[in-house]
Amino acid sequence: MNITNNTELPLEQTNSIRELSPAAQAGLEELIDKVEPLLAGRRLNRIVDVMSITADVVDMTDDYMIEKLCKVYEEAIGGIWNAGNLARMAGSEVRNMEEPPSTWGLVKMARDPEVRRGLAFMIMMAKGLGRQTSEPLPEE
Amino acid sequence: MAKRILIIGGGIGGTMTANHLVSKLYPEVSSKKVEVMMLSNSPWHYYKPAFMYVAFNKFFKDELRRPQQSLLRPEIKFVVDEVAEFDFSGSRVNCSSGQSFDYDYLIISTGCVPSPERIEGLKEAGDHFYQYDPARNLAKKLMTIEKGRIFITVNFPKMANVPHQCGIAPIETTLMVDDLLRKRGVRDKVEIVYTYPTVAQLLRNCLFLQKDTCDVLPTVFEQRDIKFQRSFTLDHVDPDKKIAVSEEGKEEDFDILMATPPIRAVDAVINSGVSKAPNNEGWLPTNHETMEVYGLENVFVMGDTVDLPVSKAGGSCHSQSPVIVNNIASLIRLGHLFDTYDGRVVAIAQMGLEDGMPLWYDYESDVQPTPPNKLGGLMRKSFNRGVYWSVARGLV
Repeated sequence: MNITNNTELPLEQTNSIRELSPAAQAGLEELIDKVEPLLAGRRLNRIVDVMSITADVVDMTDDYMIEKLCKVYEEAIGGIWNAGNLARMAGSEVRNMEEPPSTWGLVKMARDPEVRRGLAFMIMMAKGLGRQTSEPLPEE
Repeated sequence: MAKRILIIGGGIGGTMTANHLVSKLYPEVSSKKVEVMMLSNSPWHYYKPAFMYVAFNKFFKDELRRPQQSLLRPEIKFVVDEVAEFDFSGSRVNCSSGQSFDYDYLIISTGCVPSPERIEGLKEAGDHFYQYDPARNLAKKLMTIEKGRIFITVNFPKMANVPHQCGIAPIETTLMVDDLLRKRGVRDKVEIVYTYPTVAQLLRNCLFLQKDTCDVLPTVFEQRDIKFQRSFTLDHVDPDKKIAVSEEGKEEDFDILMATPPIRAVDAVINSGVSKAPNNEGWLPTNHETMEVYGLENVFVMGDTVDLPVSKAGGSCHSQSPVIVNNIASLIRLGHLFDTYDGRVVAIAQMGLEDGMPLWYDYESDVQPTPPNKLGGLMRKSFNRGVYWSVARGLV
């Protein structure tokens, strides 16, 4: 078998390493100085491990996993976004009131169908909370 | 009285722009000096690029749409109605229901309409994936074909240097068809033929609308045993004989004719009379930097309705939207325009069923194709399922 192994040849006999500029050579030597203790202390192995795990995650991820993760992402982001928007808008509306509404004024606000729809939303939330806590848990 | 910014169209361009406007002009919006209103013909927002995946049984309808209002900030007044007529001289739009809405600033983001009926026989015999129902029909055929020939054609607008819908989509779907048929175990019995017309914007006799990508495509296709033909400009289709005939005089038979169909602007835009586009296509004359409509005051246009050479896709809207927002904000606050669009388009191409390739280009530079890989594919799939909705909300 005639296999040529370039690594056994002296460096000057190989063409595989191209000549570097002096600045690049200095940069490379500086980099080697930095990496040397990491290699000696086996700490660079952790970086290789991280790369390996990243590659594993990419290979293991499939369409179904993406779908589930993205659903969680969208619901979380959408929920936070919506809550933030409503709080910001409500805060702005309240700040723009010259005086706080009277009790009767609050009742009058409930004539607005959008306010009533919002109140109905809160009540339905309360219903859901009630349903989730309606089953008493017996002692073992 | 509040100044009204009226946005026509609830697609990705209109939606992200409406949200961004409220954010940018929040002091004026919260003090009722500015009102942002959106007019859309549907209470639903559809993620249109997912129609492509419907053709491969990858998306259900409810997964690619959301209630429009759930994507809009609560400060935005949302009205479901169809614009019937633009009254630019009166700064008003008239709707099919009889309602009218005045505006101080108008943003037209009404998209485009796939129109296979503009080529004789194409609607009867061809298939496409740019709308939900046609994509479902195509899916049925792709899932059942056992042998034969899938012939792919791309049809450009007649207006010079204006692209078809989503420039990369024909390549994406060609590679997806190849992957699908391999998965189904019938690829060796089905021939796939990709074609491109003689005139593709500024290029001639190529396989794509940008040269660098065109140059790598033969290798990509040969590796997958996909046949390809240049200079096939679809003239008409014989539905009975299942033959596609080109303007160059070629006749090609098919079992499935997967076409990127002709497109046009919506009726109200065409009927406005502002467009100078040939073939009644309706593209609005657009200032390629400010995104204003030439000849109209305080009217902006974005996305598919422009007559610019950039892709008619969400990746264009994403870069045009902030320019329009900044320009309207600066008009209101400073009295002059402020920002310019550099033609930037950003996207992640779906290169087959698994791999993806991020890409970007602008007026000055073309796409530099890179090897597609699974990580790119995961990025695209994550965008489809999650990140898109953050983009629509103006968060990304």
